[in-house]
Amino acid sequence: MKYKNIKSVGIELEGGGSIALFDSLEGKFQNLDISYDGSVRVNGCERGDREVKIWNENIGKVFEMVEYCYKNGFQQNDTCGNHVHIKVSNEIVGLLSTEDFFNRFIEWYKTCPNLKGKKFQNRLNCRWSTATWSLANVLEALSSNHKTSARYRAINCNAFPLYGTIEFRILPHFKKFSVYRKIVSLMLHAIDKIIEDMKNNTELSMSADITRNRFTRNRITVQEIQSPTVEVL
Amino acid sequence: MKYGIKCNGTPKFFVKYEGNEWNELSLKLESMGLRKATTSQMWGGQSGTYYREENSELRRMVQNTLIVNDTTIDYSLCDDINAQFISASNQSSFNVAIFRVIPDSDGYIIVDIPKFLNVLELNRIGKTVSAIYQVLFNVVVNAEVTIERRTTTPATNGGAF
Repeated sequence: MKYKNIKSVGIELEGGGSIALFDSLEGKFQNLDISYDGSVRVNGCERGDREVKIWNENIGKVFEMVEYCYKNGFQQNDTCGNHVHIKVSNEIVGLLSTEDFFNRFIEWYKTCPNLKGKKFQNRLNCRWSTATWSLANVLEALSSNHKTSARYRAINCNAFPLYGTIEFRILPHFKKFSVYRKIVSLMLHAIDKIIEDMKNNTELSMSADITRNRFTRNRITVQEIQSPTVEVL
Repeated sequence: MKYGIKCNGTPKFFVKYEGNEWNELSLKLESMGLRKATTSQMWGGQSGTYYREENSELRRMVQNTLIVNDTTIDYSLCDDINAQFISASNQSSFNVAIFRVIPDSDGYIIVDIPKFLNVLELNRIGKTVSAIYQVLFNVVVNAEVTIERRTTTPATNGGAF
């Protein structure tokens, strides 16, 4: 599938499987990395604590690897989440750090008919993928050149200084590849569309007011205004 | 004064003067010996009216005042009306020439930028703009920068956006 704005996709596949599976992955697929993940615990597998990462400009190649894993006994359970990284052009990546983008994405997630189940909606309250935007969080995420706790958001901007990507952490585990592929495809399509809408949207504005205060202060503060106002120009 | 980014296909940075701000600033520029001129090479190819200077007087004034006030900013300063406002290759350089540009009748200055700035970049620019604002308007106290989201309806007066 071709996207208008997404240049490449990377995934982190948490789960368990046999030693033979993980050994067979090495060298079979490009841009692949396998590591230990202490938060993952899939019982009944020889290796129940793995994270497999892969990226490609062609989402089909990414799905190929995931399908191979599931066909060869790979399993996920509720200790596993599914993370998707995307790369977009430098001209528009800033859009993905905005509250508007975050809220549009969460709104899609909450209302998508395929994501109505408890398994999906519970992720909105998961502490590893907090579904609220915070200016302080995004500033910390973008300015840190190491992993910080600021990354535990539904949309993780901490991935940008580290890898040049924006990470979506909200998807839960999947028992079948067919479901994995369907939901990830839906999500990527939604993200691509949100970006396209925002690029061409005359209504998007981020502004800062510089006002003269009466009181002396020694520092400049950044304060988030919670309630949007409507401005007609 | 407001500043921000609008996106309508291509991202643009804007400054909006309010009240008597532009009058105050233009009087200050004229008192420094700057005179009005027109150009077709603003920011590398835009037409506009601006205050021309000979020896980077504005940048020098800003830098000197920042030093005297012991104020640090997040960007290096340049002052070149013909250069890009934000260079695609050097995104830590703030072009103070924007404060020499004469705004439109609505108080707006609008500049094409190479990319949509992210929240962190906008915050950094905010500190620089705020510091320069103090210099330009002789504001004794520090200004408070807030970042807010606004929903705007499309301009009905054929405005720039």
